[in-house]
Amino acid sequence: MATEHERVEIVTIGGGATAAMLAALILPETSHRVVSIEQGDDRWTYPDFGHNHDALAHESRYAMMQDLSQVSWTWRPDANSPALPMRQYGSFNPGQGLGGSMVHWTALSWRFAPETFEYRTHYTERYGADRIPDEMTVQDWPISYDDLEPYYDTVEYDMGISGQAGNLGGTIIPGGNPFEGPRSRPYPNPPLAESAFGQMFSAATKKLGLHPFPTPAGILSRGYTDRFGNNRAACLYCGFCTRYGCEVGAKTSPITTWLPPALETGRYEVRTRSHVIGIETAPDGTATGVRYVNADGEEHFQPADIVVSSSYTLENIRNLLLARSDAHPDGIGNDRGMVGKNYTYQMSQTPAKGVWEGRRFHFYMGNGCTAPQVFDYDSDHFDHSDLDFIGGARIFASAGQRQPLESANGLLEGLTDRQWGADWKASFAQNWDSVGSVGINGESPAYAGNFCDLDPNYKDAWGRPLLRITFGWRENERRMYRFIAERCAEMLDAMGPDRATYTRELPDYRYDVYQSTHATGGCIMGNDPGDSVTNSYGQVWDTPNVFVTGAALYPQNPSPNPTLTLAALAYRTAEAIRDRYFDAPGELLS
Amino acid sequence: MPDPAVQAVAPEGITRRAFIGAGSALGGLMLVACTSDTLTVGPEHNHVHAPGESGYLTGEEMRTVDAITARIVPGDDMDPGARQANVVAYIDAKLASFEGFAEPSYLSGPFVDVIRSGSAAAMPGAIAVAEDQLYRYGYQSGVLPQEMYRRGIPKLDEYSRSRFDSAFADLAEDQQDAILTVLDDIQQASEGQSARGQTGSPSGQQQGGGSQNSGEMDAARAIFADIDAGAFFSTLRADTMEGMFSDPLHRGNEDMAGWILVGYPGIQRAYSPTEMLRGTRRRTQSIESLPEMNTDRGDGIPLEALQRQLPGVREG
Ligand code: SF4
Repeated sequence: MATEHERVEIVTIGGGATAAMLAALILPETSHRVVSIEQGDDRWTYPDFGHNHDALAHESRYAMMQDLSQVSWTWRPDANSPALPMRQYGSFNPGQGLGGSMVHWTALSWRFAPETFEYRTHYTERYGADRIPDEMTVQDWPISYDDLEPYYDTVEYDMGISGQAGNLGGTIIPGGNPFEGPRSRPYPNPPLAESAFGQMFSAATKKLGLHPFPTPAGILSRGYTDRFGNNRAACLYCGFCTRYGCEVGAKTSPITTWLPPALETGRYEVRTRSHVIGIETAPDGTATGVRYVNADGEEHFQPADIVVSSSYTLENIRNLLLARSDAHPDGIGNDRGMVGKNYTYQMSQTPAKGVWEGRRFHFYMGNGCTAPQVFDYDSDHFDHSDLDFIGGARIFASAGQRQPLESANGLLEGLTDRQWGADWKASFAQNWDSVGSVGINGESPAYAGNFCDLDPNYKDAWGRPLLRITFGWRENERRMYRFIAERCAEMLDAMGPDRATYTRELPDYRYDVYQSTHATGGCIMGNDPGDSVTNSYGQVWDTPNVFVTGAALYPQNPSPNPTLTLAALAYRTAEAIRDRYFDAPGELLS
Repeated sequence: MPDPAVQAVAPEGITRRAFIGAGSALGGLMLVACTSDTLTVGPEHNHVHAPGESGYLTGEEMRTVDAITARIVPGDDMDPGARQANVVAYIDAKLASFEGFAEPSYLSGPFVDVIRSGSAAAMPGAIAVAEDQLYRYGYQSGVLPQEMYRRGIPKLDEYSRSRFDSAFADLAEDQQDAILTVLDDIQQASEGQSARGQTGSPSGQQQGGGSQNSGEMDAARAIFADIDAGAFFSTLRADTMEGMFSDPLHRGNEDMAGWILVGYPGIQRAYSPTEMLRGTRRRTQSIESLPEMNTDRGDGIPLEALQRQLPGVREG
């Protein structure tokens, strides 16, 4: 018998970033209650992150990541190939525990470019409809950059983003990103400290006529107090940032920012070490709450007016697909077969790498944001008329937080014949801090052939099917990569390395090598139930008391990191739920 | 309905039974399908390898593993390598501390079973995996590290004897390198060429890749049989690098030899923006020498932002 809890207004699947944002924005001005069911443990800045600088535990043994022994995801390159599970961490690293992945994140904090929100319209109008390949299922977002700008602005100030504005109300500001959309205010904090290698990259790319600028970071460059009253310290450039929790709370996370105001209301509760095993529905198809198994293996039921699937992209898709009932034979949100469609990823590669003999760049300091970026070849900021692809990539210099242990597995790939032995050792000793690269994060357009569904063979710890990912790169991306890789080679060469190695062709996608945790799409938002799972609030068309938050909502994945945009969308959803939803519960918001 | 078998079929029809099968693995693996955050505990922290006392490896296995690590990161007293950093002690402690893997792993069946092509059709519900695509899926064999070591080491010795008439640990260094090179080539061949970069000078000149002795690779494959020779090498390589470059807290990297080798100051609290640009002088140290986070700034008043553990979060 499941233990049934008292009904609350909102239950969320996962106690991560968007759940904490909803609670922090909805609860203080209402009398509602929010419960989050979190699979991981609780953890706090102190003592949990006070003494955590152990690369083996965090980078090799994935201390902060989801427990793969309970849930994994299968993958196949195309629908004719077999799907096998991710048995050990590879392609992506979703986190678990209080605050979710936004505790171990790198904290790059982008606004998406205005044309990103009108993707199909933009490319069609500028280059003609035949420039979008038939198999590409890219579409416009249901909201524009202008719709989202106020939320971006609020989120940036709540997070204390450190960066240099590039476009203030239409005026281009030197030193910032000239390609960004107009912003109503500058960043609340100045950019993070510069790195030696970053300075070299900036000088070289400026000479090439490009526009380098500092990475906007969800990391404080100075002490900062936000509107919630959180009093936070500046970054120590400690060198243990991505895959770690920040020991001083300089890296913005739910723990530093949204959990305090949410928990202070006394009406937010996070139940840890508890795994949701199903969204329950009434005969009319309305969601009634979630079933979960707690730390002691006991089954519980939490009834709620609203169920929010606020998990990682892949689990959000699975949460909907598994919610099968007579009213939803193929799962919630899937009455038109749209759940799992437009699954997209991130093209994360290192096209050019060099050695500057005898130079030391102090790469072991800093974090993943202490590097400049170039957006001249991102999105449609460059003329594609004579090019054979659409899309682009952000290009950046190697940042900090280099670890010898992680470097031993590939830093010298392409630079030494073997990755072991006397020659390798001599080169590693000599060059560990002298190797730098030019890397990219590229777009992932949507295709009919790239999608997610339930796996027929593999099950999770509770006997439920794993999610099956079908994903591979297409010709458009191979061409895009070829072009972008040449630009990276030009930038690297302009920095004058003594030796270099280039990867000029895009390798086949592989599941076993870490690339990016930016899996997106699969529960996409749109203007019409025929081409999407949710409306612009993440409200599921066929079950309006279920909401989805996170990057699963993105119709396709642009090149900048997804977190700031999913935060801005969660803010917009929170406002709509707080101010309007309960006036007409169960109705679609307009 | 029985679990469908997942099969890897070699494209040219010449196949080897390279992995354990679904049925045989399932029960045993479920027992160890758990992870632990427990730190590795190993033999005493000294150069005297304590074979089999508290670790996993036997004395003879320790000798072989030590010899392998000493070729992966060679060294001597003036220029320490894996042997001087006592990497074998790290590996032994890791194997003893984790029945399965040290990292979270999904270990439910069915597992990949490389079989002769053609018989896939004979198994209803079987899934065929092209052998040259298998690398893209990552680890799939179901072979756990303890088994990889226990069964791989005799194969390595057998291959060493077949080629140079001695067990691996007794070979000359260049012979040991020749053996390991073949295993490395097998591993690289299994990953195809698609993931390899092109090496060259800034002007675009190409350099050659690694040599591949296909005859020796076939000989090694035949001897290793159902243990994947390439996976054996990459396991040893990865474990050696962990023992060489992780915090001495975990028993390897003795005297911080790996960190001093590359000029890494180890575990520090903070660097300044000036140090980011100009570098720093620090004494290399382990996390064990890092002072506790000073949450009260010495004045007895704890920083609220750091201490906050708020009510409302509890086990469900
Ligand atoms: S680099 Fe800065 S933000 Fe990152 S963990 Fe260290 S102190 Fe925190």
